[in-house]
Amino acid sequence: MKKNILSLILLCALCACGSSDDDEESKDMTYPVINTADIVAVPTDCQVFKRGDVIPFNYLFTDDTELGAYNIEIHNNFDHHTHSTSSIECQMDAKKEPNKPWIYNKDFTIPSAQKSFTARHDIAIPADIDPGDYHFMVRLTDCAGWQQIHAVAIKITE
Amino acid sequence: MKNLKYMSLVLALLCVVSLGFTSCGDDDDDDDIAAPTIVMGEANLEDGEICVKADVAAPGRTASIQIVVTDASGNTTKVTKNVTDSKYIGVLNIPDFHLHVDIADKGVVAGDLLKFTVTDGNGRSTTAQKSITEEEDDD
Repeated sequence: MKKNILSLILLCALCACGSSDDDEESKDMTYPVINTADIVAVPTDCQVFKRGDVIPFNYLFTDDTELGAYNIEIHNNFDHHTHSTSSIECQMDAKKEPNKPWIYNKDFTIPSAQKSFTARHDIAIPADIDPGDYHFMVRLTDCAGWQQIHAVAIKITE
Repeated sequence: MKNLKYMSLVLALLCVVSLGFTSCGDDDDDDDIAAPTIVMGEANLEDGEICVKADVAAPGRTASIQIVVTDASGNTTKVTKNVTDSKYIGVLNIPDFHLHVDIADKGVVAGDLLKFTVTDGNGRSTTAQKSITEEEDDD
Protein backbone atom coordinates (compact mmCIF):
# COMPACT_ATOMS: atom_id res chain seq x y z
CA MET A 1 0.00 0.00 0.00
CA LYS A 2 2.75 2.41 1.06
CA LYS A 3 4.72 1.54 -2.05
CA ASN A 4 1.75 2.33 -4.29
CA ILE A 5 1.19 5.70 -2.63
CA LEU A 6 4.85 6.67 -2.87
CA SER A 7 4.80 5.74 -6.58
CA LEU A 8 1.75 7.94 -7.04
CA ILE A 9 3.53 10.92 -5.41
CA LEU A 10 6.54 10.43 -7.63
CA LEU A 11 4.36 10.22 -10.75
CA CYS A 12 2.53 13.45 -9.88
CA ALA A 13 5.80 15.27 -9.26
CA LEU A 14 7.21 14.13 -12.59
CA CYS A 15 4.06 15.21 -14.45
CA ALA A 16 4.22 18.65 -12.84
CA CYS A 17 7.86 19.03 -13.84
CA GLY A 18 7.15 17.85 -17.36
CA SER A 19 4.39 20.39 -18.01
CA SER A 20 6.54 23.23 -16.66
CA ASP A 21 9.34 22.36 -19.08
CA ASP A 22 6.91 22.34 -22.02
CA ASP A 23 5.91 25.93 -21.23
CA GLU A 24 9.53 27.05 -21.29
CA GLU A 25 10.21 25.31 -24.58
CA SER A 26 7.18 26.86 -26.27
CA LYS A 27 8.44 30.40 -25.54
CA ASP A 28 10.36 32.05 -28.35
CA MET A 29 13.08 34.06 -26.65
CA THR A 30 15.30 34.59 -29.69
CA TYR A 31 15.55 37.53 -32.06
CA PRO A 32 15.05 36.90 -35.77
CA VAL A 33 18.16 37.25 -37.92
CA ILE A 34 18.76 39.51 -40.93
CA ASN A 35 21.47 37.60 -42.74
CA THR A 36 24.19 39.10 -44.85
CA ALA A 37 26.36 35.96 -45.02
CA ASP A 38 25.89 33.14 -47.55
CA ILE A 39 23.74 35.34 -49.76
CA VAL A 40 24.35 38.19 -52.20
CA ALA A 41 22.71 40.76 -49.96
CA VAL A 42 21.58 43.97 -51.64
CA PRO A 43 21.94 46.74 -50.66
CA THR A 44 25.12 46.71 -48.60
CA ASP A 45 26.97 49.57 -46.91
CA CYS A 46 28.36 52.27 -49.21
CA GLN A 47 26.65 50.85 -52.32
CA VAL A 48 25.85 53.49 -54.96
CA PHE A 49 22.67 53.62 -57.06
CA LYS A 50 21.46 56.01 -59.74
CA ARG A 51 18.20 57.95 -59.78
CA GLY A 52 15.69 56.21 -62.04
CA ASP A 53 17.31 52.80 -61.47
CA VAL A 54 16.09 50.07 -59.12
CA ILE A 55 17.50 48.71 -55.89
CA PRO A 56 17.28 44.90 -56.29
CA PHE A 57 16.63 44.27 -52.59
CA ASN A 58 17.73 40.77 -51.62
CA TYR A 59 18.05 39.58 -48.02
CA LEU A 60 17.71 36.28 -46.17
CA PHE A 61 15.66 36.30 -42.98
CA THR A 62 15.72 33.45 -40.46
CA ASP A 63 14.16 32.67 -37.09
CA ASP A 64 14.32 29.68 -34.77
CA THR A 65 10.52 29.50 -34.44
CA GLU A 66 8.53 31.51 -37.00
CA LEU A 67 9.08 34.70 -38.97
CA GLY A 68 6.38 37.38 -38.95
CA ALA A 69 6.78 40.57 -40.99
CA TYR A 70 9.32 43.09 -42.19
CA ASN A 71 9.48 46.74 -43.06
CA ILE A 72 11.74 48.60 -45.46
CA GLU A 73 12.30 52.31 -44.90
CA ILE A 74 14.53 54.68 -46.83
CA HIS A 75 15.26 58.21 -45.62
CA ASN A 76 17.88 60.83 -46.36
CA ASN A 77 21.04 61.23 -44.37
CA PHE A 78 21.85 64.73 -45.52
CA ASP A 79 22.45 65.73 -41.87
CA HIS A 80 24.93 62.87 -41.28
CA HIS A 81 22.94 61.26 -38.45
CA THR A 82 23.72 57.76 -37.26
CA HIS A 83 21.80 54.65 -36.26
CA SER A 84 22.67 52.15 -33.57
CA THR A 85 23.37 49.39 -36.08
CA SER A 86 25.54 51.47 -38.41
CA SER A 87 29.03 50.05 -38.15
CA ILE A 88 30.71 51.11 -41.38
CA GLU A 89 31.50 54.70 -42.29
CA CYS A 90 31.12 55.54 -45.95
CA GLN A 91 32.45 58.62 -47.71
CA MET A 92 29.62 61.13 -47.47
CA ASP A 93 28.68 64.25 -49.37
CA ALA A 94 28.68 67.57 -47.54
CA LYS A 95 25.71 68.26 -45.27
CA LYS A 96 22.81 69.95 -47.01
CA GLU A 97 19.18 70.88 -46.58
CA PRO A 98 16.67 68.48 -48.20
CA ASN A 99 14.68 69.84 -51.12
CA LYS A 100 12.88 66.78 -52.45
CA PRO A 101 14.26 63.87 -50.42
CA TRP A 102 13.20 60.28 -51.13
CA ILE A 103 10.99 58.76 -48.45
CA TYR A 104 10.07 55.09 -48.79
CA ASN A 105 8.24 53.14 -46.07
CA LYS A 106 6.54 49.82 -46.76
CA ASP A 107 5.40 46.82 -44.68
CA PHE A 108 5.59 43.24 -45.92
CA THR A 109 4.08 40.08 -44.41
CA ILE A 110 5.98 36.80 -44.50
CA PRO A 111 3.89 33.69 -45.30
CA SER A 112 3.03 31.69 -42.15
CA ALA A 113 5.15 28.89 -40.69
CA GLN A 114 8.39 30.12 -42.28
CA LYS A 115 11.69 29.82 -40.41
CA SER A 116 13.66 31.01 -43.43
CA PHE A 117 12.58 33.50 -46.07
CA THR A 118 14.38 35.25 -48.89
CA ALA A 119 12.96 38.72 -49.42
CA ARG A 120 13.42 40.00 -52.97
CA HIS A 121 11.98 43.25 -54.34
CA ASP A 122 12.93 45.67 -57.07
CA ILE A 123 12.55 49.08 -55.46
CA ALA A 124 12.32 51.81 -58.08
CA ILE A 125 14.28 54.96 -57.29
CA PRO A 126 12.32 58.04 -58.40
CA ALA A 127 14.14 60.05 -61.05
CA ASP A 128 13.39 63.45 -59.50
CA ILE A 129 14.55 63.01 -55.89
CA ASP A 130 17.49 64.72 -54.20
CA PRO A 131 20.69 62.78 -54.85
CA GLY A 132 22.96 62.18 -51.88
CA ASP A 133 23.39 59.99 -48.83
CA TYR A 134 20.51 57.81 -47.68
CA HIS A 135 19.83 55.20 -45.02
CA PHE A 136 18.20 51.94 -46.05
CA MET A 137 16.55 50.39 -42.98
CA VAL A 138 15.33 46.80 -42.71
CA ARG A 139 13.20 45.96 -39.66
CA LEU A 140 12.34 42.27 -39.16
CA THR A 141 9.81 40.99 -36.59
CA ASP A 142 9.14 37.35 -35.70
CA CYS A 143 5.78 35.91 -34.70
CA ALA A 144 6.59 36.19 -31.00
CA GLY A 145 7.12 39.94 -31.44
CA TRP A 146 10.94 40.14 -31.25
CA GLN A 147 12.31 42.75 -33.60
CA GLN A 148 15.71 43.16 -35.25
CA ILE A 149 16.95 46.09 -37.32
CA HIS A 150 19.65 46.45 -39.96
CA ALA A 151 20.70 49.89 -41.21
CA VAL A 152 22.62 50.30 -44.46
CA ALA A 153 24.21 53.53 -45.73
CA ILE A 154 23.77 53.99 -49.48
CA LYS A 155 24.35 56.82 -51.92
CA ILE A 156 22.09 57.89 -54.77
CA THR A 157 23.66 59.78 -57.62
CA GLU A 158 22.25 61.76 -60.54
CA MET B 1 -9.29 4.05 10.32
CA LYS B 2 -5.53 4.08 10.41
CA ASN B 3 -5.47 3.76 6.63
CA LEU B 4 -7.89 6.70 6.24
CA LYS B 5 -5.63 8.97 8.35
CA TYR B 6 -2.64 7.87 6.35
CA MET B 7 -4.44 8.53 3.06
CA SER B 8 -5.45 12.05 4.18
CA LEU B 9 -1.86 12.84 5.11
CA VAL B 10 -0.61 11.61 1.76
CA LEU B 11 -3.25 13.61 -0.16
CA ALA B 12 -2.28 16.79 1.70
CA LEU B 13 1.36 16.13 0.88
CA LEU B 14 0.43 15.59 -2.77
CA CYS B 15 -1.32 18.97 -2.89
CA VAL B 16 1.72 20.76 -1.47
CA VAL B 17 4.08 19.01 -3.87
CA SER B 18 1.87 19.79 -6.89
CA LEU B 19 1.51 23.45 -5.96
CA GLY B 20 5.25 23.76 -5.51
CA PHE B 21 5.95 22.48 -8.99
CA THR B 22 3.13 24.17 -10.90
CA SER B 23 3.98 27.58 -9.43
CA CYS B 24 7.15 27.52 -11.58
CA GLY B 25 5.07 27.69 -14.72
CA ASP B 26 3.20 30.90 -13.87
CA ASP B 27 5.61 33.21 -15.68
CA ASP B 28 3.00 33.99 -18.34
CA ASP B 29 0.59 35.61 -15.87
CA ASP B 30 -0.17 39.18 -16.85
CA ASP B 31 0.66 40.32 -13.32
CA ASP B 32 4.23 39.12 -13.75
CA ILE B 33 4.86 40.93 -17.03
CA ALA B 34 6.90 44.07 -16.53
CA ALA B 35 5.78 47.49 -17.75
CA PRO B 36 7.45 48.89 -20.89
CA THR B 37 10.86 50.50 -20.57
CA ILE B 38 12.08 53.39 -22.73
CA VAL B 39 15.54 54.76 -23.34
CA MET B 40 15.19 58.14 -25.01
CA GLY B 41 17.62 59.05 -27.76
CA GLU B 42 17.14 62.26 -29.69
CA ALA B 43 14.40 64.86 -29.56
CA ASN B 44 15.89 67.36 -31.99
CA LEU B 45 14.38 70.25 -33.95
CA GLU B 46 14.96 69.83 -37.69
CA ASP B 47 13.28 72.11 -40.23
CA GLY B 48 9.70 72.10 -39.01
CA GLU B 49 9.99 68.60 -37.56
CA ILE B 50 11.20 66.91 -34.41
CA CYS B 51 13.44 63.91 -34.93
CA VAL B 52 12.49 61.42 -32.20
CA LYS B 53 14.66 58.42 -31.42
CA ALA B 54 14.23 55.84 -28.66
CA ASP B 55 14.78 52.21 -27.75
CA VAL B 56 11.76 50.38 -26.33
CA ALA B 57 11.26 47.08 -24.54
CA ALA B 58 7.68 45.93 -23.90
CA PRO B 59 7.38 42.39 -22.47
CA GLY B 60 3.59 42.81 -22.72
CA ARG B 61 3.86 43.88 -26.41
CA THR B 62 3.36 47.46 -27.54
CA ALA B 63 -0.32 48.37 -27.94
CA SER B 64 -0.02 52.12 -28.46
CA ILE B 65 2.63 54.81 -28.62
CA GLN B 66 1.94 58.50 -28.10
CA ILE B 67 4.25 61.48 -28.47
CA VAL B 68 3.24 64.74 -26.78
CA VAL B 69 5.10 68.05 -26.89
CA THR B 70 4.45 70.57 -24.14
CA ASP B 71 6.02 73.82 -23.07
CA ALA B 72 8.97 73.62 -20.67
CA SER B 73 6.69 73.63 -17.62
CA GLY B 74 4.65 70.72 -18.98
CA ASN B 75 1.38 72.65 -18.68
CA THR B 76 0.56 73.58 -22.28
CA THR B 77 0.30 70.88 -24.94
CA LYS B 78 1.53 71.98 -28.37
CA VAL B 79 1.60 68.73 -30.37
CA THR B 80 0.05 65.26 -29.95
CA LYS B 81 1.05 62.43 -32.24
CA ASN B 82 -0.33 58.88 -32.01
CA VAL B 83 2.08 56.46 -33.65
CA THR B 84 0.21 53.89 -35.71
CA ASP B 85 2.97 52.39 -37.87
CA SER B 86 2.42 48.63 -37.77
CA LYS B 87 6.17 48.01 -37.41
CA TYR B 88 6.02 49.63 -33.96
CA ILE B 89 2.79 48.05 -32.66
CA GLY B 90 2.37 44.52 -31.26
CA VAL B 91 6.08 43.99 -30.71
CA LEU B 92 8.21 43.04 -27.71
CA ASN B 93 11.00 45.47 -28.52
CA ILE B 94 11.72 48.41 -30.80
CA PRO B 95 15.39 48.86 -31.54
CA ASP B 96 16.09 52.35 -32.83
CA PHE B 97 12.58 53.83 -32.94
CA HIS B 98 12.87 56.74 -35.36
CA LEU B 99 10.12 59.14 -36.33
CA HIS B 100 9.92 62.70 -37.61
CA VAL B 101 6.97 64.56 -36.11
CA ASP B 102 5.58 67.55 -38.00
CA ILE B 103 5.59 70.66 -35.80
CA ALA B 104 5.15 73.36 -38.45
CA ASP B 105 3.34 76.42 -37.02
CA LYS B 106 3.01 74.75 -33.60
CA GLY B 107 5.32 77.18 -31.81
CA VAL B 108 7.67 74.47 -30.59
CA VAL B 109 11.01 75.80 -29.37
CA ALA B 110 14.17 74.36 -27.89
CA GLY B 111 13.59 73.68 -24.21
CA ASP B 112 10.04 72.38 -24.67
CA LEU B 113 9.35 68.88 -23.35
CA LEU B 114 8.78 65.78 -25.44
CA LYS B 115 6.85 63.04 -23.64
CA PHE B 116 7.03 59.55 -25.13
CA THR B 117 4.43 57.11 -23.79
CA VAL B 118 4.28 53.39 -24.53
CA THR B 119 1.27 51.33 -23.41
CA ASP B 120 1.43 47.55 -23.57
CA GLY B 121 -1.26 44.96 -24.24
CA ASN B 122 -2.02 44.69 -20.51
CA GLY B 123 -2.71 48.42 -20.24
CA ARG B 124 0.55 49.25 -18.48
CA SER B 125 2.08 52.55 -19.54
CA THR B 126 5.51 54.09 -19.21
CA THR B 127 6.35 57.68 -20.11
CA ALA B 128 9.85 59.00 -20.76
CA GLN B 129 10.51 62.66 -21.38
CA LYS B 130 13.30 64.68 -22.88
CA SER B 131 13.96 68.36 -23.32
CA ILE B 132 13.85 69.30 -27.00
CA THR B 133 17.12 70.56 -28.42
CA GLU B 134 18.31 72.17 -31.64
CA GLU B 135 19.73 69.77 -34.19
CA GLU B 136 23.26 68.75 -33.28
CA ASP B 137 25.95 70.02 -35.65
CA ASP B 138 28.32 67.12 -35.30
CA ASP B 139 26.80 63.64 -35.23
